[in-house]
Amino acid sequence: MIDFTSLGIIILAAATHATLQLGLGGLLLLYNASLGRNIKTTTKKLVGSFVLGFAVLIVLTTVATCFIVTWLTAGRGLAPIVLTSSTGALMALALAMWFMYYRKGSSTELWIPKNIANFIHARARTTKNNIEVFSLGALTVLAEFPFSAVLVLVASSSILELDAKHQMIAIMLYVLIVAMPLIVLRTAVRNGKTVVEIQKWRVKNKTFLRLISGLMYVVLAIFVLAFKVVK
Amino acid sequence: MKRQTTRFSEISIRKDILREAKMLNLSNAVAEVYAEKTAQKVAAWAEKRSVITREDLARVTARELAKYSPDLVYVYKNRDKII
Repeated sequence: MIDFTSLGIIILAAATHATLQLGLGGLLLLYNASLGRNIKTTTKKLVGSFVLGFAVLIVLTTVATCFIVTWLTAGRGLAPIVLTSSTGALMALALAMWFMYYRKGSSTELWIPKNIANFIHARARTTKNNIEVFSLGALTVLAEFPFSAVLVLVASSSILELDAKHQMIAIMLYVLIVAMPLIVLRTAVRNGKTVVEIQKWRVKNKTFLRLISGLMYVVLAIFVLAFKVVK
Repeated sequence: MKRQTTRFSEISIRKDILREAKMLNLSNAVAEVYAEKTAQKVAAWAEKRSVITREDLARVTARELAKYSPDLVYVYKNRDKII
């Protein structure tokens, strides 16, 4: 039987992870650079590679975390003290999301160090190579790991509590939800939305996105505390 | 850190505007007119100066483009501000 509490935590962690903006920003940059330079087929391939790189790294980090949790706990799952610490970390990340995730000003510049942002800008602007774009997608996942590590840990811990036959489906569900904003962006551009329209929307709704994202961290923390620690 | 320097080129400004216009789905003919007129004005501005920065160039290009397309201005003003 499916453990709906674990499934709920996986979905909530994935939805919170999906609100992080670096992957979306990276993809928007790629569109910005590629649409003016390349024919549509090339852009389509580059964007496909970026999304694939992003998704593959999410799968790898989730599977690796599942493996590490199993190995460290000898299959018993995370101890309550670790889960309690995770909820503390989630609360801290909620505060970080509200107060430092975005830089000030009317832009969607993020907290990441300027040299990493410049590197992503420069590569997105010049590359025509699918493999490099794949790595760029993967890099956006890694660069945002300080904000996503606890989410992956909490999700992995819940994935391990599911039946073996449901674990792979749960990982796929997690990846699908996390990659959903990228898929939506891709669909929007295909349906005629321009990069400028999308970027203007992001800037206009920056405060709302920040608020929702932080709240989701808080809700997830409460959920884990209530259903996994206290029970 | 020493920044990379390049020679100003009216052609590269023109190409750059055309690239951004293509990204915005502007028609080729319209984009050519915008690019031509803007590049000429920017070149006239640059001619009077011995050194200009990329930021200056983007600012002046945006100022000239404001006469034609607000979306192109947005692109120029918000470069490097997506992430």
